Amino acid sequence: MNKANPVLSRVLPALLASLSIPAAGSDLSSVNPLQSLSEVQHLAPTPTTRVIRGWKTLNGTKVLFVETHGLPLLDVAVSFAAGSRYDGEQPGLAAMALSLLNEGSEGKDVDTILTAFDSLGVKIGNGIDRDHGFFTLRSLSDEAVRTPALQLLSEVLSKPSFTSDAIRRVKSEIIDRQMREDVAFETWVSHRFAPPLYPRHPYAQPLYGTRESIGEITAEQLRGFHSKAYSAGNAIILLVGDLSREQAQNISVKISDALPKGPALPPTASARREDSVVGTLHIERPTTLIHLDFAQIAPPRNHPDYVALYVASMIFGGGFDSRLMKVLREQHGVTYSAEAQLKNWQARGPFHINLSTPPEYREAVIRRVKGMFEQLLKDGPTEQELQNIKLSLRGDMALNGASNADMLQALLVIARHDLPLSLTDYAEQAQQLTRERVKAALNAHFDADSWVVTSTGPSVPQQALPDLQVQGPSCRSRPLPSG
Amino acid sequence: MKRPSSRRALGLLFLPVIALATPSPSTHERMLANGLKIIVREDHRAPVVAAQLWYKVGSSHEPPGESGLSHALEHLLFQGSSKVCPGQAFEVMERLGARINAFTNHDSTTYEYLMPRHALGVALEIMADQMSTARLSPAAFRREIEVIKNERLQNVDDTPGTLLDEKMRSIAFTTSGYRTSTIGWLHDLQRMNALQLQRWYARWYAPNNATLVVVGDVTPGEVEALARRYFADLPGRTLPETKPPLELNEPGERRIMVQTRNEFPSLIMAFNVPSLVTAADPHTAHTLRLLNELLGVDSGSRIFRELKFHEELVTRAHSRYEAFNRGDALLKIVVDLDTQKNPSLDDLQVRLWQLLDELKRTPVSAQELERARTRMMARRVFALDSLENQAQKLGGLESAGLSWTLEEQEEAHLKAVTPLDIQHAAQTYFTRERLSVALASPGKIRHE
Repeated sequence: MNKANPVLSRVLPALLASLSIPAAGSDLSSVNPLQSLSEVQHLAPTPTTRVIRGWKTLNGTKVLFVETHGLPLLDVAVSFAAGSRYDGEQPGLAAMALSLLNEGSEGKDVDTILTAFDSLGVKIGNGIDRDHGFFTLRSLSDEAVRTPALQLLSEVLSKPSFTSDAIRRVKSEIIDRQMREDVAFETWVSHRFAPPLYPRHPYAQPLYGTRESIGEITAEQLRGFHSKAYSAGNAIILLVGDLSREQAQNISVKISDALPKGPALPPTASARREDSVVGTLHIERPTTLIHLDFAQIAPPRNHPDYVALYVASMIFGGGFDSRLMKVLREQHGVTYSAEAQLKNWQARGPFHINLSTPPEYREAVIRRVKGMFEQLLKDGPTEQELQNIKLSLRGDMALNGASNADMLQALLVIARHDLPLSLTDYAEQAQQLTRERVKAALNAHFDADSWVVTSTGPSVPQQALPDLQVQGPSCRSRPLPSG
Repeated sequence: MKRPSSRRALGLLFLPVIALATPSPSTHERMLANGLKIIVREDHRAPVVAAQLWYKVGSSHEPPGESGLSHALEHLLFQGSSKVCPGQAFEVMERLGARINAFTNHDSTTYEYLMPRHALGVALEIMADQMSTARLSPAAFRREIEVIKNERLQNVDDTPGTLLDEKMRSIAFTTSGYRTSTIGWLHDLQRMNALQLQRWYARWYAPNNATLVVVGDVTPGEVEALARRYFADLPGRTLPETKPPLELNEPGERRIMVQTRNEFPSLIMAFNVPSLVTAADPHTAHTLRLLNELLGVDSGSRIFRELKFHEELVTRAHSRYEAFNRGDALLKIVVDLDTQKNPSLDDLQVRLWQLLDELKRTPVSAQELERARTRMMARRVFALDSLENQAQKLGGLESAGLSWTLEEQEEAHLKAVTPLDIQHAAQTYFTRERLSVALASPGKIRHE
């Protein structure tokens, strides 16, 4: 379901220009047709034929696997419902528990473990968010490499050392992250909007806790959290690569067997829209541009309306061809990138719009974005917009099976949200949507005046938006000459 | 299974495996009469194709006062050509299920498409049309330059790490165009006009200054036929003579102190070194690649282990060597200081010099070198998972003036590097005369 534009995550490499502005000069009112287009536009992309297999280990770990051949690779993710929303009274507990896994395991210090992974050429990653703590491993699939690599991974996950030195180091590391997160300007899904959006939900708590809360966390609490949250029943295992089904099953059993025994953590309550504190919060910062976040709470990923809302988010702010980019970038030239995303957090994530703009346009942009969303609620998408997204998502059906790394990400979403075992399910669902259905879903879940807005940057006198729309007749393709 | 108990056991267990495992994809080269080079790699794992058009022009080609031209031209290329209305390339390609992207760096400008295989012809037709008939209208420029200024403010001026790197490059490269900001200095963006872009386009956008790279579920014959259909009629042109950007070997120690908006101190140490193109012996560049890997790539490297895990002086650390530049390069070390231990910028530099001096004094062990080599070779295999990464590697080599076939010889080149080579390279290149230091300290204006 990742249609996030790769452009936006690159560092310096530049983004492209924009869309559908009417061109200047009457000589540009029409262009010659693309010869190739008429030859292929009736063809549909070949959807990926990759098959997802799923099973559960005896200890209760859910496993998904896609078998791929052609490259001697294995990608593994082990994810736990162990994110910050399970912190309870100790904000930062989940982040510390994950970090402790990096500090060495029983009988092996961090050097030994790093050296061992290194000697195998294995790449290890990990991460924490509000819902999950997870590890990833990428290895050659050859048994002589993967077997010791997976053995090490199992040890790392299941036998962290809780030495006082490790705990001291991790506390220092987490406080450092917490401080950086607190001031980072361009944290896309910023935690700044979380407190007003989720005033009565653990999502409002800072991912890395606070200096005070971190200071108070004890070894006993960490041990307790690990044995409950990093248990076999609370884990999912995702495998993509050059393995037989039997080999994949054996691997999943070994990892699951190594984890502490125990059931899945009971789900915590979902966030409620009516709790959000609607309004605009400004945080003064000495930056050049101002960063704006708009959020309201959306339904969860497994809600029947989710795909309709996803399509709406794409139309509103999902790329160069979206409404936000056409208006803010092409018409007004006041932003480089503006995007809208539906976040699939487990206990109801936000529908989130974010962008940067010169500080003198802060108020005008807030009004414009709110007005555009109100229009979308009122009229729904146009037939053309819906058609374009459907065609684009048919491309996803082919592209989704192109790399092991992409498939691993898709499996994570499917397993975490108990979705059908298919890489193309959401794109197929989208093909059935109508304008009315999308509009109804939008109005069932969102309001024009329920935005929690945060702006971060300097305060300056305000100006109206400039109109930089290129004047002139609309540009169209001439039809191909007949015959 | 019995747990392997020592580092050595794992190392020995492993060594022969990578050599066996590295697949060698089938890659082909063609050249059209007009000078367009075509590289095709077959990868039939999925019905998907990556196509990239690489132009050999980037910010290092730009004269003073005209920084940012290549990048701005990249933006404007999508603002209309003879067969494509402004912005229409996105809509057309997205409806075909494709994703488009483009990027500019110091050496090159790249337009890239990832798509279902049947859309390849449309992508090539758009690329060819943009190569020859881009409108570059003043009206579109007036709007787009505002977007580009916002891009600069967002991705450079408000991003402390990128800003520090831009300033570092401006002192580390003393004589070459590599000192030029790729996105453009703000004052140059403010005085740029469409006419400059039209001249820049006429100078560099020609088939004989480009490489078309296609990786995916295609055959060389199919690609060649499509490329001929859309590109063969475009005339080759006389190109400006270009020379690899060269630097003084030992310009002398340089230092820049920046008060960023960052609230946390960070530091870059950059050494002037040759690239694979400019090194008298390519072995030197491969040695520098391994030295870089040992020093600061990933968590097994020395800086990471010593300064992060053992001493807790830094939180983030990495080193990077631009081996595939078309001219002289940098090997740089980038660290963020740990806010809890809070070392001084001076103390940290002393400590980094101790690490570098250690590499000069004592040859690395065979095992440590082997681990670094293993990491690099494994990453080569990992990179084959992505069609775009494969195309980027091939296109990057060609655009630097190297051959894509180097990619197939990398393994042998890396294997030839010895611990004594590493020691010698450290002694030669980690000197004060080659060093630039960029320091970011918290700005005057503090939040709260």
